[in-house]
Amino acid sequence: MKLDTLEPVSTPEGAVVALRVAGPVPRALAWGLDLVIRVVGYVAVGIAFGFFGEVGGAAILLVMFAGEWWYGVLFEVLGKGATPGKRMMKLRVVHADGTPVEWGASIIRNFLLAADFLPPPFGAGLLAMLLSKKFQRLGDLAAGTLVVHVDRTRVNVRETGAPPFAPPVTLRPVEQLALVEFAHRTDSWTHARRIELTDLLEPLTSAKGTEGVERVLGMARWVEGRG
Amino acid sequence: MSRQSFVASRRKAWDEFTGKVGKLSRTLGHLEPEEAASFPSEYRRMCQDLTLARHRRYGLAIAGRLNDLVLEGYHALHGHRRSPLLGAGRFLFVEFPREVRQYRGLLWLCITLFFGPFLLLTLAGVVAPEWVYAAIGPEMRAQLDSSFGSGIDPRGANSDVQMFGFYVWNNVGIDFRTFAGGILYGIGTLFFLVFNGVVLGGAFGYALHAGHTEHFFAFTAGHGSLELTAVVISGMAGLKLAQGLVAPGRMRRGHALRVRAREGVRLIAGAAAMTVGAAFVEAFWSASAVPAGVKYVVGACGWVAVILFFVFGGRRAS
Repeated sequence: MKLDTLEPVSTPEGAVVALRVAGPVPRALAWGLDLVIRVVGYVAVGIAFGFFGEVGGAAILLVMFAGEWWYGVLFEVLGKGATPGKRMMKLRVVHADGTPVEWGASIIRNFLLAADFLPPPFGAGLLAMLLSKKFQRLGDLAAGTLVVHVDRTRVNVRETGAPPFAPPVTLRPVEQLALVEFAHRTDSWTHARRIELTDLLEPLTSAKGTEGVERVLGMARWVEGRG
Repeated sequence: MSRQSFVASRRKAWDEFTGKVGKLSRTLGHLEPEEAASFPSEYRRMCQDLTLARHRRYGLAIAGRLNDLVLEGYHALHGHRRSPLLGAGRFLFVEFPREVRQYRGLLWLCITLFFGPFLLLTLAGVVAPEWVYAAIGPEMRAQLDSSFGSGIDPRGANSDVQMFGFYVWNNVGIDFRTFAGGILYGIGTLFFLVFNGVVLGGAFGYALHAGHTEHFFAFTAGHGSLELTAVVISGMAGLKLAQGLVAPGRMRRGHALRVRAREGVRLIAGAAAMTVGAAFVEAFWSASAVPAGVKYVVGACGWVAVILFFVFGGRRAS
């Protein structure tokens, strides 16, 4: 069963990259930020062109037309897949195969916002997102696009000085990986949390408390081998 | 090879590549020729490193970083940099009429859905005006009276330029909504097509019934051909989406929807261009002081031109 929101796609070079699909909440926040930006833009344009009488009136309507229908398209295609709101939320629109979104797909997904919005706000869009496996609203389903996270959360590898400790049984590769990941992240938890986690491994380490933590770190070191 | 020695031997290359994709991801960022020459091969090395790191289970710290690097490189290398204006002329004058012709059944369906109610209500204005009164409310009738009643300047105080802005905002917006409504199994599109047919037909019927013929028909003659045809084509675009959902044929429904959406978005692009053209005519020609007779002739020529365009447009081009 799939637990995470990673969406593997393969590149033409044969590498498999994982896209982190974004859910409704960051996307709603991005939409809200974009809405604020657009409204501020309309007010600014309204004030600026208010002095130009009838030509100004036409300009305001044309700016609103552009803002309501083309804001998303222009920013997504020309701005590396992200509107300003999406960029602030560290989101990006890509095709389902991971390539940057292009004109056709971006027009489809942005125009279909009008349908996704119904019943207000975003009834159809939210329902479609929750029912689809990749959080796609109707526009995304029709355009074949995904909204993905681009944030670079980094795991800071901590090289532990724990002496290598051979596990008493042969560990499967995923189990070895779990130990290694634990050792890499050991700095990000409190000591109590480390103990809590490693106590679960008592059958493996036959130790509890600080001694158990040291043994797990040692096994991780043993699994990774020396430089 | 252990994780540490892998990192030690590859770190320099990763940092260099990070610098390059960082440059490329900036607006107007580009690489020097010698940097660009080695970029594809370095990118393939990153792909290789990522696959190795996953296979050898070096952990997310390395695999995550390489995953991001490969994604950035992928975007830089395989991204599209095509201007939408490239080929716009060929699309509008060759491919667009061809595609409209290609979906002949859909075209006739949309013509029927829109022009059916339109013509019926126009006719009702002469033979059964109660239908016109049922179709358009008192506010709209009052508006038509004040805009097109005898002896009134059709535009009133609003300038041509301002009305151009309004026509683009309103009419192209209606086209786009008609398209978007197709995703709701076509119900939205059907609604907009019939609704617009009823309201516009009601306005025509009312103009006949109330005797606003001179102003009203002279005003609408010029842009009608472009605008009404664009409404029909927007309907086709919307029903393309619906076709993917309702009649996917041999494809899976999701796949059919994506394929039909690609076809539909081209139709809506053409329809939008036509509606912008119509807004131009409506703003700067339809309300001008040109005698009504000239406007009728121009309007008739417009219909002939639009029909000829869709019957013969793009037939001879390769």
